[in-house]
Amino acid sequence: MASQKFDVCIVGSGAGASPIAYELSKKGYKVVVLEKGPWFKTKDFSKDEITATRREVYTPRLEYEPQVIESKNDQGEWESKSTYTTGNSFWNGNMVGGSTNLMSGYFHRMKPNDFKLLTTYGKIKGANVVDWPIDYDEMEPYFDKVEKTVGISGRVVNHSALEPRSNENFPYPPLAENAISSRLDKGANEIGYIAVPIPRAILSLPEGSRSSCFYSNYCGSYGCASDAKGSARVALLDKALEIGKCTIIPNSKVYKLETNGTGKIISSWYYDAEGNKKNIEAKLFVIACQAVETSRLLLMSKNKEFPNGLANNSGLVGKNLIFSAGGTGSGTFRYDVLAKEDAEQLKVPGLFVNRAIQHWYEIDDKKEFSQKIKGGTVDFLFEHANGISKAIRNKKDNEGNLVYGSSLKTKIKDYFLNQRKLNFEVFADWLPTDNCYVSLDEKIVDMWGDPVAKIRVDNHPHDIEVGKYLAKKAEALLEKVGATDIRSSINGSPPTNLMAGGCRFGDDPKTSVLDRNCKAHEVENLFVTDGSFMPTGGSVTYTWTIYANAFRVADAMLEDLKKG
Amino acid sequence: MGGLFTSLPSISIVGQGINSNDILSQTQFSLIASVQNILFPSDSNGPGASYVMADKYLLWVLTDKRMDPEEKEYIVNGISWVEEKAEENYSLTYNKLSQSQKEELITDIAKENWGKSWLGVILNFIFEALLSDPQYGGNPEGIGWDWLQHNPGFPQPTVPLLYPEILSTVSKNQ
Repeated sequence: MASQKFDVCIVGSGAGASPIAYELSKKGYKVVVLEKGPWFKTKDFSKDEITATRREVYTPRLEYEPQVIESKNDQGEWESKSTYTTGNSFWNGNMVGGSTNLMSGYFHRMKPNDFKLLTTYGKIKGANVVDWPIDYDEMEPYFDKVEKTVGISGRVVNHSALEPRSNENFPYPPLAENAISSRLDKGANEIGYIAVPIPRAILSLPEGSRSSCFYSNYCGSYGCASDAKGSARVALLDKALEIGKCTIIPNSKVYKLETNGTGKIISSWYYDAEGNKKNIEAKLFVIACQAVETSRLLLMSKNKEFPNGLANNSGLVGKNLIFSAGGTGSGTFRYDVLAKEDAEQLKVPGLFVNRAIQHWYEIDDKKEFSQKIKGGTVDFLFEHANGISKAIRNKKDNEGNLVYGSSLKTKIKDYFLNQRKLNFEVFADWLPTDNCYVSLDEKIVDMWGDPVAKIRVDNHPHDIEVGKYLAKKAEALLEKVGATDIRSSINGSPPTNLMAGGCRFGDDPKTSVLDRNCKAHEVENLFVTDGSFMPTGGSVTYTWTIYANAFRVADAMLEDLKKG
Repeated sequence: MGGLFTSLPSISIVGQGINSNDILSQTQFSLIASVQNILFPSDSNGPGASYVMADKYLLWVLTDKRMDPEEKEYIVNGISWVEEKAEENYSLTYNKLSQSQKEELITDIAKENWGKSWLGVILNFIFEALLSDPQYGGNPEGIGWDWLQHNPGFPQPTVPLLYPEILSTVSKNQ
C-alpha cells in the first residue's frame, strides 16, 4: 500500500503535540497526528471510578507494554524490574490528547530564575545543571498565549515570586472556592506571607462549544465531561480538525523513523490497530510521546547513519531525565472540633482549594542552608473524592497492621463522615544526574516485539533537603489553620505524571540533543516538543511550560516551512 | 450482628448468570464468601460484604478476560493457603470450623506476611463492591454510597461506558 504524504507528521497528541497541529493546520499545512492510544471523546467520559482509577483503561496493559525500572536496592546495588512484575506503572494517559485529558490542571508558570539555574545558584556537585538557551522573556508571550488558547482561570495577586506578565489578569476569573481557601489566606498572612491563588487550566466561563466547569468533584485521573478542562484534545486538536487540514490516526504505534542517508527523516513507520506496518511521509517530523517514550523511539530508530539511535551521535538521547522532586503531605479537619457553620462550609463538595505557597521559591535561610538556593512550590488540594481509594487507605493502622471486621467499618465510617483531609503536594527541582536516564532494555520486548524502555531512576540528595524544607512550611500553615494529624512524606520516588528531559535543548551540539528551537542538531527535519527538551524543570508542574514551548516551536517550524 | 440489614435486596447485577462452579468450586466460593464476611461483617454500623454482593462481585472480577492471569491465580491460590492453615491449626477443613474458629484463623493469618497481602487484596475488591457503580454488581441500589454519604459524581456511566465495554465503545471512534 502506498504511503500517505503530509507536510508535518506528529507522533503523540498531548500538550507538546497539539499546539503544533493547531498552529500549522491553521496556516494551511497538511498535518497528521499518530497517536498510540484510542480516541476517547467527551461523551465517553463518566465519573466511573473503576474505569478511571482501578483498571488499565486509560493506560496500556503492563502485560503487553511493560517498562523496566532500574533503581538501587537496599544494598545500594542497581536492580532492574519490569513494571509488569511490580505493578507500578510509569504510563500516563494513553489516548488522543494524552495525559492532559486526565490532569488536574494546576498550572504555574516557570519563573525567570528557572531559565538560568546554574548562573543564579551555582554548580551543585553531582548534578548536571545548566542554564536554558532561552530566557523567560522569550517564553512569556507563549505562556500568555496558552492562557487564552487553552484557557486558564485565576486571579493575579502580587507576591514575592510573581513572574512578569504581559497581561494584568487571566482571561477567565477564578473558579469557585471552598471556605478553606480564605482560611489558608488568613493563616498565611498571620505567618507573614501570601497564599497564592493557583491558576487552573479549567474554564470558569463557557467558551465556544466548551462548557464551564460544573464542579463534579472528580477531576484529576478523570476525563472531563464538560470540556472545561484544557486538554490538548478539546482545546486544540478539536479546533485543528475543524480547520480541515489535520488528520488524527488513533491506535497507531510508531516504531521507527526512517532517514534518507543524508541526515533527514523521510518516513514514520507505525503499527495500525490490526498490527499492520504502515508509513507516513512528511517534510517535517515532530516527536512528542512524553519524555520516556520519545527517547525510546529515537533510540529504536537506529540505522547506519545513526548507529546509536536517531539524533544520538552525541550519545545524549535519553540522558538527564528528570521528574519533579518533593512529595506529599496532609492534615485533617474534624468536623466535631469546628464551629457548626465552619464544618458545613468545609463539607461542600466540588469547590476548589486553589492555594499554593511560593514564598520559598527561592530559599535564603542561613540557618538551614549556607547559601541562597532554589526552593519550590507547595499546592494545597482536598483529598480526591474517589471512594474506593479512600476506603483502601483505611485498611491498615499506623503500624502497618491490617484492620478488618467491625473496627475497620467504624474507621471507614469515621473517615468518610466526620472529617475532611487537606493534602499538599511539594514541587522542587529534580536535579538532572548521570543516574537518571532512558535506554532500551536488552531482554524485554512489548507486544509488537520492540525493546521496551529501561528507566534508571535516581535522585540527588539535594532534592530531598529542599523538599523537606518546603514540607515543613506547609505543615506549619496546616497547623496554623487548625488541621490535625499533620504528616508528610518526602522521598526520591519519581512522580510518573511529571517527567521531562532526555533530549535537552541547548546551543552546543556536543552537550545537547536539540537546538534552541527544539530542532535536532543532527537531523534537519526533526523537532521534539514534549517535555524532553527541558534541561531543568523548574519547581512547578510541567504542562503549561510544555504547551507554551510547543507554541514557540510552532512559530519556528512555520519559518522553516516558509523556506521550503 | 445487628438487625439493620436483614435481607438481600433483589437486584440486577453484571455477575448474574455466572456459574460460580466455572471459576471456583462450591467449597472455594463458600470459603471466600465466609472470609469476606469476617473481613467486612454486616453489623449495626452498616452493610457488610454479603449485603454489597462482594462474593458475586469477586466472581465477576475473576471472569474478567483483561485481568492479569497471575493476579487471578493469586486470589485462587490464597483459598488453598487458608485451607492449609485451617488443617494446620485445627486439623479440619475451613468450612467445618465454627464461626469463632474461622475468626481466630483469620486473626492468625492476618499476622503473617502472605496473609496480610492476600487479605488486603480481598479487602480491595470488597471496597470495590461497596463503592463502585451498582451496574458492576456490588453496591445494590447504592447501599454503600448511602452508608458513607458518598457522592459518586456526575455523569455516571451508561452501559457502553462501563469497564470493559468502554474499550470496544471507544474503538469505534474515528
